[in-house]
Amino acid sequence: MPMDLAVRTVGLEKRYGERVAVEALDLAVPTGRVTGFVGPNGAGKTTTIRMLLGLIRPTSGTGEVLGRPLDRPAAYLERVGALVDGPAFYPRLSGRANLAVLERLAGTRGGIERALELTGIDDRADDPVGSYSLGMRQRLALAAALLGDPELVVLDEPANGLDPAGIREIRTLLRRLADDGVTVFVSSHQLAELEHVSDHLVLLRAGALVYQGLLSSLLARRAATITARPEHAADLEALARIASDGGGHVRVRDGAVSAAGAGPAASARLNRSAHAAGITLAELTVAAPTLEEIFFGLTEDGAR
Amino acid sequence: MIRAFRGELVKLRQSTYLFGIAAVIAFMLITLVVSVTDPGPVAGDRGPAGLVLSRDGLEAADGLARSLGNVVTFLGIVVLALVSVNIGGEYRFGTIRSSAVRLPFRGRLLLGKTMALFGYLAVTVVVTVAIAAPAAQLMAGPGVDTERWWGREGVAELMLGTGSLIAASWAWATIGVLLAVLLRSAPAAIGVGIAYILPVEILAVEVAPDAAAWLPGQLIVSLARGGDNAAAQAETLVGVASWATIALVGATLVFKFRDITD
Ligand SMILES: Nc1ncnc2c1ncn2[C@@H]1O[C@H](COP(=O)(O)OP(=O)(O)O)[C@@H](O)[C@H]1O
Ligand SMILES: [Mg+2]
Repeated sequence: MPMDLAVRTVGLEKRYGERVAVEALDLAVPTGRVTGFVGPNGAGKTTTIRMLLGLIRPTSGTGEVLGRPLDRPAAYLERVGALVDGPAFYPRLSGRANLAVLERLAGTRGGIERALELTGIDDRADDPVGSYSLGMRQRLALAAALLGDPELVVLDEPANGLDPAGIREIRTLLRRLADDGVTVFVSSHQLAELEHVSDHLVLLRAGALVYQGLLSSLLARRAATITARPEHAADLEALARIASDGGGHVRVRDGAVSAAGAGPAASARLNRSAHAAGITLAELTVAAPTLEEIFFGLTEDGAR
Repeated sequence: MIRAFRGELVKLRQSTYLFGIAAVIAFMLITLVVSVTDPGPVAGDRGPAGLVLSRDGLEAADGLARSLGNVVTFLGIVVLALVSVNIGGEYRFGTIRSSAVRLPFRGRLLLGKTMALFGYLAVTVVVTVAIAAPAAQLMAGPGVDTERWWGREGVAELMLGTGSLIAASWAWATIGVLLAVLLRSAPAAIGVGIAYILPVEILAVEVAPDAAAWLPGQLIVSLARGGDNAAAQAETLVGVASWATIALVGATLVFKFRDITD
């Protein structure tokens, strides 16, 4: 295993009877980066994370976490901090006492204050967790994951239930962790939540890998959507025909022609061809695809 | 295992566990009212409420210890409830996930937790006896001659009785651990546990009286209530210890090899 992978799996699979929750997953999570783990609800993110954390046994497949085999979780878990499937605490104990339980289980000490401070819940740390809002419990769960200075932090939907400000705070925290050399593997069912913080991306759909690699490569892979509006509506059909010659998926809507998935320089070409055909464009815009669009494009490809 | 033990100690600070002690004390006082006030000429078995000794039996050196032992069935209900709430809560709150990630040796996790619960139960029994013994003296009143309770032999019997009650509470706890691990829910474990101790075992003994010699609940009850026959008591203790071991080993194996999907 190359030294720069914090997590690697080969053919990882989990079945529940007939249902396949995760299928033949080959994961590669680089060390010291933020890797976003994205897929719609039910895609198998939590199942994958549970397998990485030794909570459930894979039906088949192998892997390594921090250089240790997946089937010996005790050998690597002391260097891992995790939040699995939502915050989990004893509601009648204070936030601080909850962290104390975890610290005692881990056999470490002295990390509670720092974790509370990092996640900004120090002023409510002595109240029972049952009185916390969901956002505070998410933060406490983050604090719990950071106990013991882990090398790898695995976070399952840490932004669930947070307001936009809370999500931004989490992003800042994740970025800071990665800047300190910690590997962050963080899941979400919404690409937008992780778009701005991930270096690396793993896209999952229906238990199967859809994409994995650099976020920037994914962005480069998908071309922009061009929208051209002719000055005269009568030219729409002719313009659509010209756009189709340029390739891509062409649609006519609201008095404009849009071409999705056209290659680079397609807008200049369209402009030139339209001009040559005597069509004057009143509007010509190029919209970079959002990650959501990219994601849906990829998963639609996968479904075909 | 020491890690799990220490972690559990933090949890035992919750008020639930103080209520648990209070509940055992309350049950004990109720039991004593039945057991030591106004004894008759012959002993009477009140089933789950205990064995009311005859006047002679009550005034014997072990009269107090055996009367205290009458709380064993109620003790079982409280212990089952507490243990089920403890372990069922781990599944309900999802803390089982974070615990198993922080301490991936699942056998040690469960056994350390069980040991902490054992410690708590021992304290509960000792505190209860410390309150109940003088209370029994007061309840017995001038009509019962309690002098032998406080003699050398009586105090030794009281210690032995306390030890038996502790052992009984531990044995109940192992049944609670097994049920809670199997069912992963406090209400389910409490329901099944209590249904088993009360109607199921009692009916089983009605149908086949021999079963009393080996059914776990019957053995635990007879261990706590004590008796004159030391050899029979030793045999009972072996039976109780065997069931407790079976329950703990079973719970540990299930916990170790089952996926944590909660
Ligand atoms: N314990 C289980 N038993 C049966 N099916 C399960 C279990 N856990 C998860 N699944 C199924 O596996 C699939 C993936 O679930 P999950 O990993 O929770 O997805 P995600 O976290 O991406 O939303 C879903 O179809 C879910 O219903
Ligand atoms: Mg999930």
